Amino acid sequence: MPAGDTDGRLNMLPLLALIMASFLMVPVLALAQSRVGILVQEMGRSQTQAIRGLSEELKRLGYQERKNLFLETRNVKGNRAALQPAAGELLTQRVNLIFTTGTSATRAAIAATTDVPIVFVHPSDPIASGLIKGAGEPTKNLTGVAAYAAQTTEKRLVLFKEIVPSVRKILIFYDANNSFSRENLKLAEGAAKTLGLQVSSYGIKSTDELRTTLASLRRENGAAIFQIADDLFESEAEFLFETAREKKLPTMFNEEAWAINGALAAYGPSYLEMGRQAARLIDRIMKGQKPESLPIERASKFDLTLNYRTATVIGLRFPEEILKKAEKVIR
Amino acid sequence: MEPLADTIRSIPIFSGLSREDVAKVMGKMEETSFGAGTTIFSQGDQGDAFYLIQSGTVQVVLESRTGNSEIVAILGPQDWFGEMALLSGEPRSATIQTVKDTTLWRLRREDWDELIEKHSTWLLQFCATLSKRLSYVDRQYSTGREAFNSLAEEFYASRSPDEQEFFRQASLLDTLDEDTLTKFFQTESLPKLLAELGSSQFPLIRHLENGKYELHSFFRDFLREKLLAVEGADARQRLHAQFAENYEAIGNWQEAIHHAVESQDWPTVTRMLTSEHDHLVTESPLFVKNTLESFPADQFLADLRLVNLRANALIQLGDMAGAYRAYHDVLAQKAHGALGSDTIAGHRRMAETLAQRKEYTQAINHLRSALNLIDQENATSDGYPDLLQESMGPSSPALPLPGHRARSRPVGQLRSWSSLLRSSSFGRWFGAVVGLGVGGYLWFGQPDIGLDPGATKLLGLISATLIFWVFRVLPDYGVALAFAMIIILTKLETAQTVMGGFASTTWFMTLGVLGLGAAITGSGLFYRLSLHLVRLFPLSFYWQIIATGIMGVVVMALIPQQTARTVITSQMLVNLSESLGYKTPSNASTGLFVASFLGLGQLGFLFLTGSTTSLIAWGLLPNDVRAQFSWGYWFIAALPPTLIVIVIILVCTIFLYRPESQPKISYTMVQTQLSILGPLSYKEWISLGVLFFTVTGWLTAPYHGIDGAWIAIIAFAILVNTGIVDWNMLRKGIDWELLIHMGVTLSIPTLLKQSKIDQWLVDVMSPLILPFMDSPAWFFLVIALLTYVLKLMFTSFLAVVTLSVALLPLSIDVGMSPWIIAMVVLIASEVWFFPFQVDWHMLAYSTTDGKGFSYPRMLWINPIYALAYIIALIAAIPYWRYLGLIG
Repeated sequence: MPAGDTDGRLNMLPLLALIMASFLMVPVLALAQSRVGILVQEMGRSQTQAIRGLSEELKRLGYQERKNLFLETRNVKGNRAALQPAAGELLTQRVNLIFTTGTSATRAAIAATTDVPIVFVHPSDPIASGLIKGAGEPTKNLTGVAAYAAQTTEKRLVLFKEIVPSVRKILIFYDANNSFSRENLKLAEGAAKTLGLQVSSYGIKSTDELRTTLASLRRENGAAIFQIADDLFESEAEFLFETAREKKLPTMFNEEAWAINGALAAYGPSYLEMGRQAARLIDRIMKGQKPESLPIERASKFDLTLNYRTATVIGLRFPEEILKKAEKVIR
Repeated sequence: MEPLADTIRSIPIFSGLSREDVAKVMGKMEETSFGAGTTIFSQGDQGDAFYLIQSGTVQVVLESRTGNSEIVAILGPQDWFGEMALLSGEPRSATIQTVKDTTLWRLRREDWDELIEKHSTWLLQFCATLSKRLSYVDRQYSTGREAFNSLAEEFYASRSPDEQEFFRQASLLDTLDEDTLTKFFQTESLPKLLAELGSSQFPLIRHLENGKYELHSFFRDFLREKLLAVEGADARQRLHAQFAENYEAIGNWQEAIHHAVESQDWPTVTRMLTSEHDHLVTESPLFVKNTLESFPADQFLADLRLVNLRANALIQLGDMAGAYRAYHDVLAQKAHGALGSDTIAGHRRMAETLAQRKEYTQAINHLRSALNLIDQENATSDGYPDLLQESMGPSSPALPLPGHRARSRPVGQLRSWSSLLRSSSFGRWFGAVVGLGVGGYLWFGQPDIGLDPGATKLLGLISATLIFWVFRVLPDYGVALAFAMIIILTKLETAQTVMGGFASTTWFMTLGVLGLGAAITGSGLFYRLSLHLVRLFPLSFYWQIIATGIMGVVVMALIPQQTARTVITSQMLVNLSESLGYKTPSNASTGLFVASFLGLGQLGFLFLTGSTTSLIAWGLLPNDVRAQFSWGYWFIAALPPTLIVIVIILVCTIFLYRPESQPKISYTMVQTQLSILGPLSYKEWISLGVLFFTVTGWLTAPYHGIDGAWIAIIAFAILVNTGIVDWNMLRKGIDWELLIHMGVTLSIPTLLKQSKIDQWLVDVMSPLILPFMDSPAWFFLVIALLTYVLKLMFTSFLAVVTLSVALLPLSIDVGMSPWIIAMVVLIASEVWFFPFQVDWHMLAYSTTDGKGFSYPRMLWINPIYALAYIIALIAAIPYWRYLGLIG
């Protein structure tokens, strides 16, 4: 065999090796380029904060947007019916994972896929909301961060008393047709009793009824409005804040966004932090862990937000101690 | 008296009178004295008196149309002049100036007419005398003319058709020279022929100095008749227009203007006169005056620049009374039905009183103020501040008043920057292209910037609108309406949202306050208040600096129109400066203006109603913040930084603008003006009452709970129903363009919120601002500097709107009230480094014809303002923290 032929064969080896390596690298490269779908029902402050936290944390973990991380956002602007198609659209974009906020968006994602991992952030209890059957039976492609807001009811009431030491009676509005709301009311009543507070509850069935009830409220010393998670009540929040300011009634809500919009105070999970927690879960999934192997995490940080403007209007001065506890004061 | 009687009888027109008649004439003659160098009357003036020289010497000066002056005679004792005025009242044929101190006997035409009325036979004597003189002149004239005509006819007939055409056309030119003719007629041979004829003692063409020629007047008339017959009147007009253009091209302005006048191209005449205002008035005032007299009355009256020009020419000619009359006549015709007619009437009364005392300079100042007020209304109702400046401009550069200097060069250069950047055709086209490009890219290109498609479209539309506003591509309010319509028609948002600003309390508050401001301004109450404030303080420079500073602060509370409040006080400040014995402009007069501008223009943020920018900033705040910041609370929160600025600026003013001379102590000016104003008028009483009601209503809002806007509207309704604000004032005194602009602008925060662009802005802006969030001082500094930079291109209003919209959503993350951010922007937006950045002081400058202050000196204070604002903002942090507005 001529020496030259041998040399020729030898020279081909590195080239073949290179071609083989290229084929092997394809899945590796695909994995390196993570495509995350974001599905939200509405882009409020909570959602924006959660996405911001997610984005910041992913960046900290080494992902670079538009290089090895692509975020595809679908915001259906409050149209719940559009969530399902939007989820389908994300899947056609071949996302590696879907990140959701809230019950409706998470449900839509669950309905759309059983394969693509879903990571959610949820303000309340995912079991009570029906996202998962029970703590021991996780859905195979689902994990996330939950705040279990109802469990903070007592803490919120304690803080409310610190903020408005003169509070004697709390007024609670709830959707009489909603069993979830009724459950929340029971929790609140129990906590109030422990703290020695009277409760006046108003079961309502429509927004008109809610407006009429709110308008008929009289200014009463020691009375204050305490919110429990309830869609009907929250849908009329603007009207409530206006009425409360007019009647000089303090209000306590369960998320920062409400305090920004006009509630006197809010104590609830930090969506920024929940977004960060979710990012760490996503990172682990991207690195090969199965979602079902990742237990649902509790929100790690809760913030007290105070609204100084509302306090000024209703003639309340925040105690120094409570100001120190507040993560944010809306001025 | 005997020699005087003989002298009178030696005058041809009096030669037929008896000694008794002469005595009667002498009884009507008054002795009058003039210092050396005084112009007794000017060529072209209306003849109103006859003069006989008792002692001294005068010179008779003849001025050609081209502006050349020639002394044609020197007259001494017992010589006379102006006798034809007694008969015809025709314009004076020459200018008479005293050579040394001269005493004259003057016989006014009205006195002469009175005598004639009593002694009708005198008239026959005059007619006989005149008839003899005229027939002699006519005979001589006819004989000469016939001879010339026959010569001209013979010469003309002997020429070729080309040469005939050349001579016909050249007859429209006064003086001819070979080079000019060659350029104008594009031929060398014909001008050469004319030159040869001129040099060869040809009787129809005269050889003048400097190689120029002139057609004999008879020959010129002959040729012009031929021109009319052969080519027609239209051709003559076209030729004049062509010559005007040719002369303009070679920079011969007087000839260019003359030919433009002959072609009756008044816009061109106006353009040339105003662009060459400076040297024409200084070097050829008579030419300017005569040219303006040829204007059609309506065109002349419609343009204040021309009126100023005429008055300036008369002032330059030493005819202060004539300048006064010029303004007075124009004011009489323009003042009817003008807004603020009380203020205008006040200026007029003052001017008349001052004129009776022969204080023409001050009288003219008052008339100018009144005319400027009228013109300002008209210009602002057009909605183009630049045009307003333009229209006022030529009055400012070069008033030939004694001691006045032409406007400094740097100001002119900066104005041209302004023109280029903000209102020139180039700027507008540039803005249109960039605006459409950016808007189109975002609307149609839908780049992935983190917004949904609808929000991206809206962002594109807002960006395009903003760019159109910055470059003044179209009127601001027109752009605003187009913006609203596009959103509604493309269903980006509902009409209720986009037009919601028109139903907001901010909009009604602004409407009410503008109406109130117009009423106070128009009633003269503000002017009276200013005078009282000046009178309250000792008439020393330092006290008057404080008085004028306070004056501005007090009045701004209720008059958000910076321009109106500045214009009205400007003249008073000039008079005050003069009354204190300061030159105008001087260090001291500029100091007084700087102090008054403190309140009138620079501290509009102190009151919610202190400026339209404060009102729009208030309107852009979230509802609950707006509810928190009532009129009174705004004042309380804004007071400390304002006080700091006041102290810094007044102290610096006292040091920077120390007077060159000690002031004369006299309250005469203030007292005179107050006595002319008399007791409070009905309108002033009503305005004062409404004012009191409004302020009380605003201050007590927390108790009665009535929104400030409704209090302002109640006040406005009272003013309308009591006739203080009439239809004319309603139409002209309220800035409807601003209200339309504002109505749309107020919807922007809601649009941003609903489309979530506000959150997007927070995400975009946060990385830039976050590093400074921990320290309010750094945060304020960054925003203030950002505003200073933006103000180089943006108007204050636009800077406040843009920065408020962009920065207010950050307030939650920076832990301070949105009002604080708005206030930082408002304060910083008051800064100006160059004259083109704001318009109110330019108007004050032109209102006082450049006498009030000197721009180079005025600019000294600007860097101090920039620094003072930042110091005040930082110093206010603890106070705002105490109020709970900063965390």
